[in-house]
Amino acid sequence: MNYKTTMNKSLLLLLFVAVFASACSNDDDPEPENETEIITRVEMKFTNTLNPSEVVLAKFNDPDGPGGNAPILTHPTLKSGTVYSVTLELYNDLEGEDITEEIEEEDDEHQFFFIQTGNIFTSIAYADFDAFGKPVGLKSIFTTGAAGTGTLRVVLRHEPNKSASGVAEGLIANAGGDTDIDITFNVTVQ
Amino acid sequence: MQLKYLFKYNLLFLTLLLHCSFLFDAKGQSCNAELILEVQDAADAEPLSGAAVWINPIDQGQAANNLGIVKFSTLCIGQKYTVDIHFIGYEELRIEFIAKENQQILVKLNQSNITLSEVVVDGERQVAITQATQQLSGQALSRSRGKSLGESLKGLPGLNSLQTGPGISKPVIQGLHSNRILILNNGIRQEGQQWGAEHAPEIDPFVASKITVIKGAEGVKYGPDAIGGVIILEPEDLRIDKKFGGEINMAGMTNSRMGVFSTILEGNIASLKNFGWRVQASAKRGGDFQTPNYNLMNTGVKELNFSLAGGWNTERRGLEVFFSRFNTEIGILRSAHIGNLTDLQDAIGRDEPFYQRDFSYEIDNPRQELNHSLLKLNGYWTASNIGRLSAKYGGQWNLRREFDVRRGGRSERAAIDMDLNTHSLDLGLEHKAIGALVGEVGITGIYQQNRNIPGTGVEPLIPFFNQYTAGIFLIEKYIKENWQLEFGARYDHRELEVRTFDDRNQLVSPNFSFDNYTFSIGGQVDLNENVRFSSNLGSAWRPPHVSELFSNGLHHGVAAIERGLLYEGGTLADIEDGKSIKAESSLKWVNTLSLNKDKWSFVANPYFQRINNFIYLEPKPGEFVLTVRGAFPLQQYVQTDAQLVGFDGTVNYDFAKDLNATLSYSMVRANDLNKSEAIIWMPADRYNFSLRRSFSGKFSPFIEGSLSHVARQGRVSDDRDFTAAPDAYQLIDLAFGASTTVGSNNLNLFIDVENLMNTSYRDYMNRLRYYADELGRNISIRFQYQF
Repeated sequence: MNYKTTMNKSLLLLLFVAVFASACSNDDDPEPENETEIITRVEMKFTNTLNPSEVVLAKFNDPDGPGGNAPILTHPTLKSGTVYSVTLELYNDLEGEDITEEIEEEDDEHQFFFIQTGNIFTSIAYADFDAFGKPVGLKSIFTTGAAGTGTLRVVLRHEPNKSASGVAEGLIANAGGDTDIDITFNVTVQ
Repeated sequence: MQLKYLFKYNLLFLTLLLHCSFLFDAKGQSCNAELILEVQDAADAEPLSGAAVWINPIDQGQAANNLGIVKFSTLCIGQKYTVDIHFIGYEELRIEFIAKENQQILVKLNQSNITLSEVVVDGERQVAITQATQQLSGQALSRSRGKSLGESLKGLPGLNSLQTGPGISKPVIQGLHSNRILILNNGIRQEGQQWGAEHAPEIDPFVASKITVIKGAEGVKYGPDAIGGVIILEPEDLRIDKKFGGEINMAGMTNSRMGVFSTILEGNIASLKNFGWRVQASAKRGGDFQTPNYNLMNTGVKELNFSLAGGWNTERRGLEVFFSRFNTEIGILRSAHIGNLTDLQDAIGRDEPFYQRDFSYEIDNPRQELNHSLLKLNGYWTASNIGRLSAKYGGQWNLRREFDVRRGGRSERAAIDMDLNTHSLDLGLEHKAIGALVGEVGITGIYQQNRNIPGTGVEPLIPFFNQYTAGIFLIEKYIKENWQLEFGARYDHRELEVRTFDDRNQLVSPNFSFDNYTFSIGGQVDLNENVRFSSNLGSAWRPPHVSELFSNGLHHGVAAIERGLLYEGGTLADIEDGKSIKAESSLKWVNTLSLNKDKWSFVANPYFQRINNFIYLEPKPGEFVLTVRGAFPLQQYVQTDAQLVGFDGTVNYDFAKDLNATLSYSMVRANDLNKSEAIIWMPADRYNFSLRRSFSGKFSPFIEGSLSHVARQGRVSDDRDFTAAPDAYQLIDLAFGASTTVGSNNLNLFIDVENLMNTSYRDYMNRLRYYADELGRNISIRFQYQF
């Protein structure tokens, strides 16, 4: 310990005489905070309505949450001219939480939107509705068109205005609200 | 800490104190105490040059100089004097006082036809008279009652506010704010979570009877952080001379339908000589604010504060205790809560905010709940052969809880829950004048700890830390009749112990240590009886705040991923006691030229500031971080060298005694020297012109109109912000006031109309400018009763 450091320490000590009572208490190490609200995994399951054993999975997986390592996306390959029943499942794997249940409980405050490019789907229809008869989107029916490639953007809005023009039909433009999910998959139809 | 050492030092400390006190008591009186009297007009605080001042029993007289100042320098400490002040057109005033070391008395004279009672403010002499200062007191302060600190100071030249909607306002001094300025609340450094742009100072301005802003770097006197300037809030001295008195303030405003009530009760106790007490409380309740075209949903505010003070003061010794508590709940514009960049862009594209409702006092999420407690104990001891020794302890307990719009019933759980405690101790000695040399030495110690209260379900924004700061300083002034010089130097040491988690959730405990020397030199000269020039060159420093070191994650309010200085490419750098991190160091040169001649008065403050290792958040265009909510732009804390050059000035012209005009102007240019580009979030140029007509008569009414023009802050290229800077705007304000006395009590009434034309505009310094307009017309009525 050199002279200067000794001086510093003595000065510090001298000055903190009056305040040690509180300085010495409450000095335990912190516990890591459990992230309870983030969504680390989104699974979109496409089931062929004519052949229920044929299931295609589109998946977004970010086990360490936002930031850190980049998320891994699994992009779906679907059959042309096929009707799929689609379910969405959301998880927080950091805490082992099923976020799907939370959305179901607050379905009137949430709505999914599906936005495609490349005209890969000829129709997208909601299959679940809240207590006010407005769509939610955890369950839906997708119909593929001809072979081709495009993208599918899945957006979950919290507290949207479900009564605004076009929103119940799945148009996001007037929905407002806060975005909880915004994922884009590359979709191949063959 | 080893207790053994503690006791040893403790003992040494006590011995030292006892030893000193023994010395102090042994000597007699000295007769070289200096008194500075400042004579002003009570209504507009104009200096009364030529006022005749006569002091007894030494039977000496002098006339006030062009700044209204008179100096006497042969007073005997502890002796009683009587001073008579005469000036043509004003009521004669006599004051009695007991001489102290370095005494400064402000005397306010009333015009003979006005019946305001005299106000005598007795304060300690400001440490750095060569600094540029700005003051809010008397009528101007009364007219700002009910506003937050940031809002109250906003109109002064060189001052601005950084806002997050109408409820959250942070003072900006010559372009700098947050951790770069210091607020002294009743002599104690305000320690809240100042690092956050949406964290306003937890202070009730009703506690103060005078607010002084020092625009220069005051690092020598106040230690780290005072890079941009200092705001000093001072209450009135305790009234040991009055049996019972007080003040009641009531205010109501149309915009937000806010009501404010404040009361002060004070007095002495007959059986306890030299003892004074004061009790103060204030309450505020407002609902949604309104722009000219829509309501700002969820911008209400609730506030309930109180303070208690008691003290025993004599000329030579004194002991005071002060406690205050500040409680507030502030709503944040609902539409400013966004999920991702698309939401932000949608919000920018909308003419009106998405969420709207009819007027309501309801405060929902997002909202902030804050408590701040301050305990101050201070004492002084004067010994005629040494000077005045003072000790001051300050304890602060700051609780900040922020509630977010959350899913799954979590909205009742705070998303941010921080407990910041600070303890400080200041010991000072104002030594007795040695010829024309007066000065002060002091030592300061501060201990601070931040704890994140578990259970938020959100990773904390800043980590758990302990911080130790110690400093020692000396300031000397050489005062002559027409000029003075001052010099100061300081040494500070800071240690920061952090406990946080790395990317693998492992506990890491990095420590940092910073040392710094600070100096200042200043001078003031009266060039002739009308012109005074002062200049101050001061250094100051600021170690990086933990938030600037350790931030790593999504900042919802601005839809960006923020990474601290310690993060390189997304992972926490391997830090060896933080040696690679440098503290900000600043050099600020402030000049004041003041001129007072006939009907003209003029004050100009040009300044120049260089800040090395300036820490700021740099947007990284084109770099995005992909999350479940989509891609967020990346912003990284970096260090650069910055330069601020600016000017504020005021010109006043009296067309007649009862009609005067004031023009003021402020500008600042801030540049990143390494990248040769403007720094973002710096105030726009501001012009203000006001005309005031006062009338004689029983109620001494006045009417004042002002026009302000705020230019467009177009110096930052559009691609470095989410949207282009808002356009320039003009506002017209009107004010009317009247005063009267009822017996020996004062009654004041003020009516203010802000944004008279109900203009729609947005301000660059409001962080909610992406979402909504500024406030529409507001009429406020203030009533003040002093008894």
